[in-house]
Amino acid sequence: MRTNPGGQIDPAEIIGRDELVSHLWDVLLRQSLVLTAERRMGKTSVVLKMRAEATADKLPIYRDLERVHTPMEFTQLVYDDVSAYLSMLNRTARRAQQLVTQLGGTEVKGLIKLPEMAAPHWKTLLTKILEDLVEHQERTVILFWDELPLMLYNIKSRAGEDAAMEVLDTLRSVRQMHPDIRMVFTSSIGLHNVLSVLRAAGYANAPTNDMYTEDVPPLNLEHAHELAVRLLKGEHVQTNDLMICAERIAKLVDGIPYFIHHVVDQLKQRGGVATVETVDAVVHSSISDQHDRWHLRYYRERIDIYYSPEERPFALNMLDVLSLAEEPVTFNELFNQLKSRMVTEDREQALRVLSLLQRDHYVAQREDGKLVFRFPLIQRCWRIHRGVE
Amino acid sequence: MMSTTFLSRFTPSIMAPRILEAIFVQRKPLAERLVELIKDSALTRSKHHTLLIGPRGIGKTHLVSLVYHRVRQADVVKEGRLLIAWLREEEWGVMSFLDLLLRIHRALVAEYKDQELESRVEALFEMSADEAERAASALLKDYVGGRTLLIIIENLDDLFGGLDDEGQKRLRSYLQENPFSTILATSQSLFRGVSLQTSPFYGFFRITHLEELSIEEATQLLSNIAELDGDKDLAALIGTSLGRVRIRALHRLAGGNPRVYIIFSQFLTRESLNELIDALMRTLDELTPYYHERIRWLSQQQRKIVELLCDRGSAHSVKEIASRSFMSHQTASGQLKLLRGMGYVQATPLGRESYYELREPLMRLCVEVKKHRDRPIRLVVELLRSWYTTEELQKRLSKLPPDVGGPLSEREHIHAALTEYQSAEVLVSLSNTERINQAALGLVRGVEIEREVNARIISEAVGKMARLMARRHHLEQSGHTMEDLAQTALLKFLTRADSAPESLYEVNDFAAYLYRIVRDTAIVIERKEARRQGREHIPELTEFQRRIDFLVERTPPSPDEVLEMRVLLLNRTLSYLLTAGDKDNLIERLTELAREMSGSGAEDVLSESLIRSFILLYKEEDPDTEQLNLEEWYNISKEILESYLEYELTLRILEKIVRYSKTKDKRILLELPLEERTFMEPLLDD
Repeated sequence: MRTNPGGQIDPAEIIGRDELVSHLWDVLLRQSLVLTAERRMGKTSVVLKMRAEATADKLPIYRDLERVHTPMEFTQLVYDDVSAYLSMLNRTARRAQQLVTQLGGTEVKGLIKLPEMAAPHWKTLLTKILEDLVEHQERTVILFWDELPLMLYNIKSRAGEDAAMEVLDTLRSVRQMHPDIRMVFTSSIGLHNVLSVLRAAGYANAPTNDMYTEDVPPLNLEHAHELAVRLLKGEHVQTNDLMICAERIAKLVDGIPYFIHHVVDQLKQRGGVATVETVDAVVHSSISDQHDRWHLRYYRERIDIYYSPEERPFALNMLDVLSLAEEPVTFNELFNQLKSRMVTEDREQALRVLSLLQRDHYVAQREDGKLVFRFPLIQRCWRIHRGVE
Repeated sequence: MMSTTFLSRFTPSIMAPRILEAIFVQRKPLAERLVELIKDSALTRSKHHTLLIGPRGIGKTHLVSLVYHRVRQADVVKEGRLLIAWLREEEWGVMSFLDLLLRIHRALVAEYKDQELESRVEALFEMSADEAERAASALLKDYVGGRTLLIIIENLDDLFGGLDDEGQKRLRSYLQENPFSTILATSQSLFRGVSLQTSPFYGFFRITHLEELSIEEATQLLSNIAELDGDKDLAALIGTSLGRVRIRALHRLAGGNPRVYIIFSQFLTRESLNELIDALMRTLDELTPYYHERIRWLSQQQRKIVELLCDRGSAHSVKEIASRSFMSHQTASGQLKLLRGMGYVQATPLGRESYYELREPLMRLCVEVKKHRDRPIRLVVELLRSWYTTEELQKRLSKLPPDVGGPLSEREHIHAALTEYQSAEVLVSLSNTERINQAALGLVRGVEIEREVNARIISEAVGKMARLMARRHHLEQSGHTMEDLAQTALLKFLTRADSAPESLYEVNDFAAYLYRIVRDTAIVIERKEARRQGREHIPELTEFQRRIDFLVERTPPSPDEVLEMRVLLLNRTLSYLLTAGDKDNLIERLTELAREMSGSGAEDVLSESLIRSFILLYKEEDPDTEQLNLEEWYNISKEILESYLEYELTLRILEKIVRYSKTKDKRILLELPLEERTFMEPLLDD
């Protein structure tokens, strides 16, 4: 088994996700799913594993929606997938085809063309296509829609907020009318990020409140250790003690698989015998790497991109405080320290931003209610990138 | 001699695999790794994507060409598990995902001469763009079948620029939905398409930054080229001290960029100045439009910063850059970040500040050529001085036709180099060494007729040196003993030199060699004296003893060994005198060394020893002993070496070490231009 940071992993080589995948299948028996994950946790690998291991009574259809910029493009993709499935059953998407004809459109080699004036009918068309699917599906078709929030961003930019809202609402109404349909939304950015933008434009619905939300956590230490061992062996990295080195890797990167791949990759490049010290050195140099090979500045830069100008100072200052805290802190303690860094008495805003930070996996709340940086590795980076050491 | 093998300087992709392999240095493990990852992608469902990053000429195309040829020979290709589509450097005009798909198809048609595929691709042009994109996507998937497709993409940064955000997203989605591709891409620098966290390919590639060649690797590259070309002159030169000096000079110019070594490899052995200057100017000419184009792309503010860094040559803090360009700190900082992202500048973080400098020395040179049309280029002048002796330059100058002029002409450059020499020459008396050298050569060659005369000259010289040495070491009492010992050692050595190849001691080296024998003899005597008087001798002297035994008892050392010993002995002597705080001796020794070395082509030996002595003092400065402090030693060195222009760089470095020792402020080291820092940093790291 070779390291592959960022690349596509062989589903057979995905480690430590069996329980999660089995739980997700259970969920999908009942309802649709929003699969959230911090970047680099291996969400795509989880989806890949589900696609690869689906039982005979299920048919996963995967689409990466990042490229989609209009509701009609999205509709076309769904039409392609449903038509491909139905043609395997020697059937056609009758309802959808009829609608296209009624609207004065054409279908040439699978490509739907609607006259310009009929373009707003994409909603009806999308509904009809999904109805065609529901009518004929012999197995449970599961529509894996990756990067759905990015598509919504694209649509918002190209066709306005309303169009993005309509897509979400249409999908929700299809799910409500046809309880047998299964959708899985996944993304490298949180759905809440795009929803907060839409809310600012007046959107008041909760378009996924019928779906089950599950978070992809990092690997537990046992599985992270196993992954490190297999990578070290697969890459023929010599160690003075395989088990201890693997344990160190797993611990230092908080069980995040992407970084485990990176550490072993760098140990391989260094050559020689790997020890706990070399592991420490690799992790340390990567955190402060000027080329940022681990893409760690992401955690700092994301705040500028997805947080509003009002939210930003709250987010940055609260994370600064938490990154320096040696012990978990209560919200009151956090808010007090925040006030020593910025002039505010807006407790509500602080709470709102804190909740965003929790959803974006920066902050975790322990059982006793106290707050900590969720990942020690990211906490170290934060201190370095913010110069708060 | 001219190169007999086709070494394309700018298009390694058209070179034969044998040649690519033969001149490949430094990156052997990386090449093996890349081939392994591609095989893994072909044999499993894992798909690896690698991006190689490095400036122009660093060897990206060389590396991917080599990997391409190796993969073609691998079982995965022979067994039909892997297809290759190579999008070469010149894939201009890719403006959409459809364009990219068409290029991939075209590359497949070219690779496999597949006429059926060609006609299916032709049919795509009958369709609308939307239809064609769908059809081309499906066609690719169909053509690859169950196999894996290796896509080699050169200049991914350009390609992504053309694809724009939408095209990149389409590509990314296609790769996600159809995981049959493994990508090996190159780029001159990190670019927004992979480094900006909102871009589709953020974190997608395994990124490898290609390192510049070290001087050892550059030497290896030149050796490989010599072997490949059967160029015996070049192969022989590389081993000599002259060769080292020239490679060092070239290294400063090349900044570790392999293409520059390849360009200049055939000129290293040339005695003709004309060809060297021509080659340099032609290279600069070829590169100038490229660099100008690169500068033209920049905003006015960015150009201003780049020009400032061209002018100043060394690393500067954002604050300095901002004030020199009349910009706000924030603007300068923002622009520098962008420039860094585009590969124009590189940054060294120090504490909370970052220091910026130009990434490619050749860019500065090109700008210098165009900007200072009225004066010779500093680097060319330096190169000439490293390359040729005064006599050679004089000779060359006298042969030039009088009507060739202008500030950038060969004549002006030679003039500038000679002027720099002249002031040095006033202080150098070569007559004595020259005579010794001639005599020694006569003896070594076994010319019977003048044997007596030559032996006398040598003997007198040795005697003189021994007496001098005895005085210097306060060993007057042992003067005769020393002379005797030195004479014996010398004669023993000379008579053992049964075959005496001329190359054994270059003319300039012999007098120095004699001198060293005498000096080392003096040290042996000092040790005996120490023992007799019951005081401790310096431990290093044991090493000298070993060296002298080695000299006396074995056949003549090779020029390499001579050079190595020379460095070793110099280092030891300087450190011994420094530790002992023997100021007078230091002054005398350094004055002589400077004179002896000047024009010998081995000035860098003294430079290196001096720098080492400074670093030694820097590391072990101890106010409780008599040893000289850094500043005193610097003042002595400066006084003696100031008039020799060949030590200008050395003095500059020494001055930085002295200042650095006081403040420990790393910014001082950053004042040195990149190429000078690379000369010093390995020593500091020791």
